[in-house]
Amino acid sequence: MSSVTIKNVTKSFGTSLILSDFNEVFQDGEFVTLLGPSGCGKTTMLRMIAGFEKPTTGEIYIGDMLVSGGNTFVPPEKRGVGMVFQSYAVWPHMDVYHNVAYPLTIAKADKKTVEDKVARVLDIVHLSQYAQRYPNQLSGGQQQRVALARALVAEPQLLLLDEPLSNLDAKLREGMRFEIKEIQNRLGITVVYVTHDQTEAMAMSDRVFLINRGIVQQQGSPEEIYNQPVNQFVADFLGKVDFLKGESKDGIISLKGTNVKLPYSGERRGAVEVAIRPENITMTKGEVGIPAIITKKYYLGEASDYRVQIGEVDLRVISEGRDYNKFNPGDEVRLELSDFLVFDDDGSLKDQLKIQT
Amino acid sequence: MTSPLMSQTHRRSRGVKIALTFAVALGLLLIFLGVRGTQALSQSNFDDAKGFMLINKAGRLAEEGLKADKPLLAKFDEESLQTLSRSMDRVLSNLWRRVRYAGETLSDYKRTDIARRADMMATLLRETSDDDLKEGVSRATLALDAVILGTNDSGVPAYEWLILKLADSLPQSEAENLRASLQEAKKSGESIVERELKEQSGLLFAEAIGEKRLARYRNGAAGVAGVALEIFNELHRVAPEYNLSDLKALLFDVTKDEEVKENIVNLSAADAFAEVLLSLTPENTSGARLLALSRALYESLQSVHPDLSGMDHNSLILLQADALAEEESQALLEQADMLQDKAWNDYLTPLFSQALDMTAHVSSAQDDLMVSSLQAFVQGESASDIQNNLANELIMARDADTGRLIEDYLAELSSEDAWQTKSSLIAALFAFDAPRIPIAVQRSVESLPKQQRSVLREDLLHGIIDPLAPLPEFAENFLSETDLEREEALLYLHLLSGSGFGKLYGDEVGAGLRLAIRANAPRIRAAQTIAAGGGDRLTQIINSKGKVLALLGALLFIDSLLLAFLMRSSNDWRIDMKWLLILLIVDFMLVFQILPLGYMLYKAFTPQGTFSLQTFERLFSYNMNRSALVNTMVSGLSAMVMGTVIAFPLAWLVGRTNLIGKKFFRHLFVLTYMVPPYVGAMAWLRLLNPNVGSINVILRTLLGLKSAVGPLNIYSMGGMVWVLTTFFYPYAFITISRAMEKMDPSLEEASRISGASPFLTLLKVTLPIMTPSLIAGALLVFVSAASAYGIPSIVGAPGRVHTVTTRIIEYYGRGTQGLNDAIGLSVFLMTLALLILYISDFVLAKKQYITVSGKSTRPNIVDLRTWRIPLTIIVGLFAFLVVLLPFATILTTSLKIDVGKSLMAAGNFTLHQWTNIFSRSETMTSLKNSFIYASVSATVGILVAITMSYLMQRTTIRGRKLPDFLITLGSGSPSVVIALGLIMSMQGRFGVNIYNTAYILIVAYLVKYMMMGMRTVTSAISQIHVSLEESSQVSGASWITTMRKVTGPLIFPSIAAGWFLIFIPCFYELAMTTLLYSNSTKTIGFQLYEYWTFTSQPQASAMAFGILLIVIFINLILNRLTKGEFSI
Repeated sequence: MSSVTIKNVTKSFGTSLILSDFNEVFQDGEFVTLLGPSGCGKTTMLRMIAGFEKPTTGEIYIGDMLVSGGNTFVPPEKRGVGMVFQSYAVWPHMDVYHNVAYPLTIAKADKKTVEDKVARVLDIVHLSQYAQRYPNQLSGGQQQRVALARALVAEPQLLLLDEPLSNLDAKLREGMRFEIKEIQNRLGITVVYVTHDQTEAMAMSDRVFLINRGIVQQQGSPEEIYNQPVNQFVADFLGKVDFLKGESKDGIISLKGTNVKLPYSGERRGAVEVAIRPENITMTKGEVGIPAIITKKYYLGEASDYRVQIGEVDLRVISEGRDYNKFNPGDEVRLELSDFLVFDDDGSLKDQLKIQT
Repeated sequence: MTSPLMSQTHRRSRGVKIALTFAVALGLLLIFLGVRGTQALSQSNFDDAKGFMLINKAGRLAEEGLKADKPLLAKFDEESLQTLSRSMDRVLSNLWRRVRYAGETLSDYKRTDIARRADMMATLLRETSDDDLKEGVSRATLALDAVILGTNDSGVPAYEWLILKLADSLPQSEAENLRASLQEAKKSGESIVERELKEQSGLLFAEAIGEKRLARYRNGAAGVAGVALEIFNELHRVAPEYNLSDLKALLFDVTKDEEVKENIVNLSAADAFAEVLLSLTPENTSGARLLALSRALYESLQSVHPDLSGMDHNSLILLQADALAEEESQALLEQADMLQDKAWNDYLTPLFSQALDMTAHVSSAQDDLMVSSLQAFVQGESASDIQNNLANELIMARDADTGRLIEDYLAELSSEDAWQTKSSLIAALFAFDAPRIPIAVQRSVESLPKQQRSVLREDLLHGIIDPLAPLPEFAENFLSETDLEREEALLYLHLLSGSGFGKLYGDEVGAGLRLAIRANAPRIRAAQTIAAGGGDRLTQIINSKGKVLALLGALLFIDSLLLAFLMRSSNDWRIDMKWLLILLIVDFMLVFQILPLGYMLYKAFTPQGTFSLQTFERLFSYNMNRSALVNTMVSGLSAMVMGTVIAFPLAWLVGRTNLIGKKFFRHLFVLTYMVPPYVGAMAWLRLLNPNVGSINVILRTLLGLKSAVGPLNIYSMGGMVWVLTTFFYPYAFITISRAMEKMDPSLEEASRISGASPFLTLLKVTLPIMTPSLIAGALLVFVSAASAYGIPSIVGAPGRVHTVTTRIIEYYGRGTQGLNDAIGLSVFLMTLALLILYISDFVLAKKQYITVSGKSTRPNIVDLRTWRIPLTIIVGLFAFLVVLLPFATILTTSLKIDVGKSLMAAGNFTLHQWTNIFSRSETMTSLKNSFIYASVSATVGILVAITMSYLMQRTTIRGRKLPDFLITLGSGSPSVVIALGLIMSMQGRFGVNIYNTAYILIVAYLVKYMMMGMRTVTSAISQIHVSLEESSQVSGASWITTMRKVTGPLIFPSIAAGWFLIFIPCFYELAMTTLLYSNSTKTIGFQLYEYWTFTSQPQASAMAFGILLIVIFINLILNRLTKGEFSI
């Protein structure tokens, strides 16, 4: 059994509260990502699961076993989990084979078993021909795969990954993403993944826990949290968004500073904030839609990024790259909104979006 | 087609290349000139360079004062000037002679004591150029000595030797006859002499046994026992029936052994004697009574042996000599020998007189000094009179020599500037004689107004030229008072009135002049070269400053080549300011570090001037050297192992676990690093002294030991290794801690999560990764322990455990052979240190797995759980034992009156030691000296460090690593070796003489400790990203402003830290100061060492604790300045 149950866990270092009241269950075989900006507490949570930190209050179970909590504390070496570190932590004084074999050597497995398992896991990470090499002869990506192999060789039920890809360059990162996901699917192990890169989180996870300042803002599948964010922070953290102020009344939201009136069938009334994702705006040179004027444009290759002005308000529009030359600053265009989100305007926007480290 | 910019660059680079070529050539020229000048100097027989420079200086000073005379002289006609010149010649000769031989006329010779006279004779003999006279005088001296002593050097009776020598001057046949007579006399005289001898030796023995006190016997009473036994046996042999009963009473008193006393009561006297004498041992004998007994026995023997000639006293004397202590034994044997020789001499006297007559009659014998001296002696003239006559002859010969030389020289002074030369020389020589002029006269001349003085000069000048002309009254008075010759006096007054000051030169110059002039005999040639006018200015300089020129030339040569090489390899032919900075530092290190070491290495291979491996052989063959080598290696290795074994777990506990109070422990362990090692050694002496050491006392009580000694003895190899370990393990501790901190903690975490317990992680991951650092730390401990001086000399030497460093310092004062041994040992130590430096810095550095983590996570703390408290206690005990206890001991010792008693004992507490020490002016002087020298060293050192760090971190200029390499080399050299090298090369051998000054100390400190500032400043600068400075520059600030407003404030804490890191070891330094100090440059460390060795321990302890307080205080300031973030 390899679910992870976290009950009422808080963590403080001295007087600063890092995590408050974390209460979740990660299911067996799930790929769970702890996502959030730097300093939000996600790494701390991971380290508590691993056993490198102790919760200030609360309990943590791996499967049915209580590993942290009350008077119990199971040290890391006895928890039977695998972990991949951000800095790879590949030992420079051992070659790849011995690095990977280490967990088995510690467990005093016999030679044949070790050889077999190491060979198998090296094959999974595509490093079979590098077994005799030393870490200083390997590239970053290769070292990361060694770390992964080492974490998997003892066939743990739970795999923890602490921002494993943030030291790699963009192209490699993408490739590794898929590989990791692939391996997880194949072996069916539970994965807890920590990252601040939302694209990564979205691409790989079954569930994402978005954390800010020690509090879980929202948890759910990638589509859920992307399309149904519960607050402005979540909306802003994932993808791109513009916030506009408006007034909701009688099924209509009037956007401040413009003449725009949007049909609205939701429940919020009064002062609201409307969140518009750039990809939900279609821009044409036609007759239908909200009139706007292009103020700037940027070429992104696969897309084009425009700033348009409606009345006193600025919006961002993302459109196809090949249309780049069609639209120019100063042009009058028409916008159509296919979707938008509405939140109460309780003045908390600024605070929510403030970056805290 | 080349652009204008390119051709400008091309032109400039060509210009630089030309300039460099010129510089190289100039350098070679200077070397050539310098060497030539030095050679010219040595050929002039003027081998005292310092005296040379002083006379030069004196001459030039005199020149200034004499410039006024030129217009004056123009007024006189040719004849008058010639008269003046002749007078000056006369004066010069007299002066020169007086100066040269001050204290060495015949009357002076007669007045000195015998020992000094021998020296004087030797000097006179050496200096004479008349070889015949030399030969004659030395033979005569030898002969006289032989006659006086009774034997010549090889132990042959004097007259025998003399007869043979005399025979040498006789014609063939007569000589043979004489020699034959000698042989016969020897044969026939044997029995007579023997008889004579027996009688005399008997007297000698009686004297010996009567006079020698018991204390002079080796083994006390046992010595006498042997003699007594022998006498008794002899007595028994010649008179078995002799009744010893009246001596029996004496016998009873001899032995303290009750059992023996009981036994002999009923024995016959003879048996009793035998019993007692055979039972004697040193412990159970009353020595004084035994002596009395021996004497009584001897008297008895004499009474049955009235003629004594039947007895062989020689064997008794030998026995006696055997039993006596070394010196006495020697004296006794010598006396016995002398008796023998005297007997022979007495017997051979007639033959000797005969030989002497025969030789005297041979015609040339009159010329033979030896013969005439012997004759005079035989006729009754005293030996000392004869010696005086001989000395007289030598002195006269020497005077004649000098007189000739002076005449030659004066004749050569025919050029226009002859007057100038003569008067400067006279002025210089007068300066030597200055005290002879009455102060009153000097003053009155001084008080004359300028115009009157020039009138006086003219008058005096006239007076010298025309002896009959009237002189000013003032001059007449002076002439009547003085016993100087007239011309001399007048010239002196003339010079006085012109120069305007009472004394022509300061004391130092005058004394130096005296010394310089005295030290050299045929100096005229040198005087000619230097004293203005004889040669042109340029030659003067070249000859007198030859060595300095050669040194500068060598530096210029090397620098130019270096610059050319650097420019070539970076293909940038521009003079860059940074290169000049680099060269400055490189030059300093070349002169003060490479040169001394190189010279020492050279001397090691040429101990006596030619290539030989003797020095190195002696390292291993000579017992003292070999044992020193072995001790050093053993103690170094032991300290290394023990130190590392202690340091690693401590570093791990303090850095990686949840030990209680780790921050405190960490500071405590590092504190030892800041304490003078010799202070620690003193502390441990108090604690582990075999007799009264506190720890020993406690152990004895605890273990119930009865002995008054031990169980632990600090004066042993073990003791020394212990103290070395406690003082040098922090080096390993710091190295290992640093490496541990730098290690990526996730490496250990990965091991934990892979299933390994903390202990297994330590073994399989931490230790292997740390191994290079461990080895580096261990090597550091080894090299520090092997190079240490303070601890071995305080702890090891009294226990006869000598190390290379203590031997080097010991040998240094012991003459040439000693110096050679010291050099050999130094080379050994230096090679060892360099080897380790190489391994540590170049080989190991590459292997160090520097794994710095990307994120600044805190290292994973290992929870010690049940072990937490026990381990804390153990570490605490260790800290107490190694750090606090010694310091506390010093404090308590300094407060005691009687070192042997406890502090708590009544009336033993006092502050007297403290007030005593710190109210002494010499303490304050030493303290002041230490502060000044250390401050200067620290300031210069930190400036160099800043320059170097900046160059290394912020520029890409080639060659910037060179000074760093040299500085590292310096810090890795053992202190004693650096000091020895400096002594040997900085006394003027290479043109630089800073010996006996504060400068040599500062230079030594810099060479050794400059490195300490480098690391802190370098790491500080490296942590400031260059973009900080670049953004300042882009904002419009000049480089200087950037330094001032951006970089400076950021690195200031590290600069301050670096300053103190250099300051502190310089402050309490001991080893180098021991070799380089002079009376006016004593430092506090050396002073303390002296006090400990020669004065009282409590006082020394007070001083030591004072030093400690100062160092701790400074350390606190350091901490405060760097806001505690600085860790050593």
